[in-house]
Amino acid sequence: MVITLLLLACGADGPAETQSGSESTAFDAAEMLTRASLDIRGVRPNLEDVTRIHQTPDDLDTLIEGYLHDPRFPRRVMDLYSEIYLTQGEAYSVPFSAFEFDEGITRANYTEAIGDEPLRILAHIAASDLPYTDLVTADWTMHNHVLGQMYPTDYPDDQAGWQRAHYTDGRPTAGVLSTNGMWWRFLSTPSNQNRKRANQISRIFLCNDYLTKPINFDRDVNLLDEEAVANAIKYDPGCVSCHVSLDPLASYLYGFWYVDETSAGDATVYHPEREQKYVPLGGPNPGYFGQPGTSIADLGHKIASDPRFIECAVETAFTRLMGRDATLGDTDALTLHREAFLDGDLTLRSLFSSIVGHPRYRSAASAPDGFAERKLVTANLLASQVMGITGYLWTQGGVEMMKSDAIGVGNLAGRADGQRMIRNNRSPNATMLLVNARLAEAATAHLLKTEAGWAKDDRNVFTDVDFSETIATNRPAIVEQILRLHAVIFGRQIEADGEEVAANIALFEELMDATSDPYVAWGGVMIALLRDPDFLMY
Amino acid sequence: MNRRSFIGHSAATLAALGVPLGTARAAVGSADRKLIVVFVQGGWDPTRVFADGFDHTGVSMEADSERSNASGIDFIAHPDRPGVSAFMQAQADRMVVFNGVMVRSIAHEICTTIAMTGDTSGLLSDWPAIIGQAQADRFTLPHLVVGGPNFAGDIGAAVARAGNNGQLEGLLSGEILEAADGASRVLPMPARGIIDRYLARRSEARILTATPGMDENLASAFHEALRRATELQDYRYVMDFTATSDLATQAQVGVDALALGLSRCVTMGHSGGGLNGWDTHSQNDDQQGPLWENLFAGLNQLMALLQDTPGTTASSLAEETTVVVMSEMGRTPALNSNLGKDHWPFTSVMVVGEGLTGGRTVGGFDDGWMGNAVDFDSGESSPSGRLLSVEAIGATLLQHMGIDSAEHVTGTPAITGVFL
Repeated sequence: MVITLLLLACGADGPAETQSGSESTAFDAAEMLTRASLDIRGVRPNLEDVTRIHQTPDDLDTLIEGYLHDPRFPRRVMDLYSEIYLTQGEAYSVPFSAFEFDEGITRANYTEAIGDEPLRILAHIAASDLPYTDLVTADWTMHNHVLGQMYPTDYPDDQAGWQRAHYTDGRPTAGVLSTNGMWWRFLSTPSNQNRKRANQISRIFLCNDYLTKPINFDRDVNLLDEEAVANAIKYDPGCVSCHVSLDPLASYLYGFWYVDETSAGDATVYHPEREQKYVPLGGPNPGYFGQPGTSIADLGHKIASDPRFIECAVETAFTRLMGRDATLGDTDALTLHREAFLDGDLTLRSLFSSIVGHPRYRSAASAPDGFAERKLVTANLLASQVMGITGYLWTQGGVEMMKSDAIGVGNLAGRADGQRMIRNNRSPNATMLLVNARLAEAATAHLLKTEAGWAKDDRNVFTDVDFSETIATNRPAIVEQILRLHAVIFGRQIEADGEEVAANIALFEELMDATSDPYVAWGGVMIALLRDPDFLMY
Repeated sequence: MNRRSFIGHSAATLAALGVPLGTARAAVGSADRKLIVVFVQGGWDPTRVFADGFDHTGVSMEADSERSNASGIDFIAHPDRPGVSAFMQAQADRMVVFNGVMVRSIAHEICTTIAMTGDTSGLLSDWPAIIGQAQADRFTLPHLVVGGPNFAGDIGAAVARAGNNGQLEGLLSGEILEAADGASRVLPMPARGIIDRYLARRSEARILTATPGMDENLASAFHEALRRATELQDYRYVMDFTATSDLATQAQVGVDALALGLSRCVTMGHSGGGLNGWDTHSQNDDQQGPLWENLFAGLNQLMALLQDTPGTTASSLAEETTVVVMSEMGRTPALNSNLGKDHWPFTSVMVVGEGLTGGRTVGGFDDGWMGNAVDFDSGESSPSGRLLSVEAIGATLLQHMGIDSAEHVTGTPAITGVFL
């Protein structure tokens, strides 16, 4: 539910809620930099930035602003919003075999491309500083070479990768609302009459999920009588309260009505001839909360003009970055972010900048002015931060293991898929730690194998050892390497004679005793640090 | 001899793991009860087995189906579903069927959420998670999810999924990395143990430096999860965690987990396969019939495994384990124009186990195919009673397992009339 500015008018801007037993503790600059870097880019700060923030903590804002222009920002936006859109499925009604793909395009490429289309639009808007309203009004979509071979599109035959494209079947243009990816993920049935789809629009873009409102079925209505049910939807106050606005939204969507949802011929194209199918089905005319409407394009513009669209955008970004739901006590912050969003021409960068620059994002525990939660990394974030440090991405047959549940470990790492799990895990469990253990092993093996073949000066991580040193032969080098590992992995500058170094040296020695191999011992230290609680919590 | 045959439900193996063995049939206390939830995903049609609509003109019953009875429970038999009849005949005396259970929605995701948690938000823990968490110290994985949905809520450390393609098994053995693209060698086993011990010390230290609030909660959860993950690795040598979408394979993993004292609760799923599975908006009769038979074939195997496996306090797991079979919704009583049935907000739930007044059907469907009111104290239909709801079923399960349902379910008491 959108916590609207109306709350201000209702006098709801009182003291912020606090957690009992909690104390206000601000993140220090280095910790804050790590938090912002992970939230904005999906990776931890590099060594140069770590050094800089320790030397000049006042550079925090400058560094964060730079992260907002990092090329990884759009991809991170996709990851952040994937739990909201839930379009990244692993099974679609039109089978892979229905298409004649070029050699080399796999089933994984096909499923990934379909589900990514709506999120790629969002990412492009973020990357190009386009107004957020383009999400529902754009006359373009995002396609890659896989979708180029599936859909009616002007995507060039001789290219690959994601780029702006246009459907060529004459469908009305409305950004995400016009994509096959959205409506293949959220199908409908003759009896449901697009209501499920309409609710996705309301849920994602207006933060109004009709389905969270329990239905108390009126026992005076004979649910066996179709006419009685149809009348109840129109006249029973308990039903009308939702259906009066939901059903007209649903009536916009009949151009995406599939007679055979398994048929590529039927489901890849828009059907203008079915736009008014709501008439024989007894549905209302298209309309947007009391305003009569016409096409999907019209719907997109009405959503874009709805104040709730902007408020929902602010609240969604806020909850994604804060790691918790907004409360009444956040109304003042949400108002500020909304103003910043409007002043910033509705670019996601302006909105994110406002949120991560606000004191509430920067306080580590509850405080009189609100708080940000310590957060658990998501499966996607775990994968991207490991890749950022080691260059390793865990795939199998080209499938990203953290994004798959069929063969991968997404669910086990806490990833919501919208079916088996509808929310990402908020706290670690045994399988997440097992996933991280294996990921850390594979990533470390990859990193060691890569860097061992390079000169020390060319390495990124193991710059202080050549994998032959022992404590007895070169303790200073080992200490230096441990310091570097902590800086690279945690963004921390620790003391050479501190307890972290002592603990890591003890671990190194124990591993040496067990294996007599410095290469394996360093691998063990690296793995332990990648499995550390502070690598999963930020 | 594989790991499963090694377990062989052998008393020696179980004793070696420190699992106490029951030797004689005795009343199992609620605190010692275990739970299996079999979740049928997609929306089953209760008129195929549980709901008798023969005398109701608005209900499309299946051709060739007929009334039958087992130990006092009326059910619908069909010549193509011998597995259903066999199950009913074998289990009805320990069974309660709840008919006319209200779900309050007709959308799959929300119905699933409500059915498993009693709430629409998805933020609350589901029934098996709560039941597992109540004895979190007794079990390495208090709630193991072998299939079906799960809602961990804020007790995620007590819940884990096995994956539907052997993922957990692969993680435990490390073999999952062998299939990875560009796989590199992994560390030798001794190194893994050293790292695990280092992390245990590190996570303890992290709790000590945690700031109150979420930081402390996460640090504690990490420590607990690490302990569970480490313990879990030992179980790899005595059981195989590989399960698929097939209920029989899930049953094997689930029963092993209960027998070895790994888990108190197990959730399994029956999706029906294909794109739509149980969601039979067209050709309902052609599709639901085989699905029911397949479901009950799996349930028969599950019950046989439970019966053949020593319990931890009773002679068999069957005496200790309550099996709940449910779906997120029912289906419309009448066929639509595609000979399918659409979503319906009233459904049925089957519960099998000790401590229940078995051989009993509670509730029912009225003329409008909505639920009848029930006196929760007696379990008998009563116009002045309450409607059966999935929250009431949840409250009943919690109470049955020794948990005060009022702490978790607001405004809906347990149906105590079904307790012995």
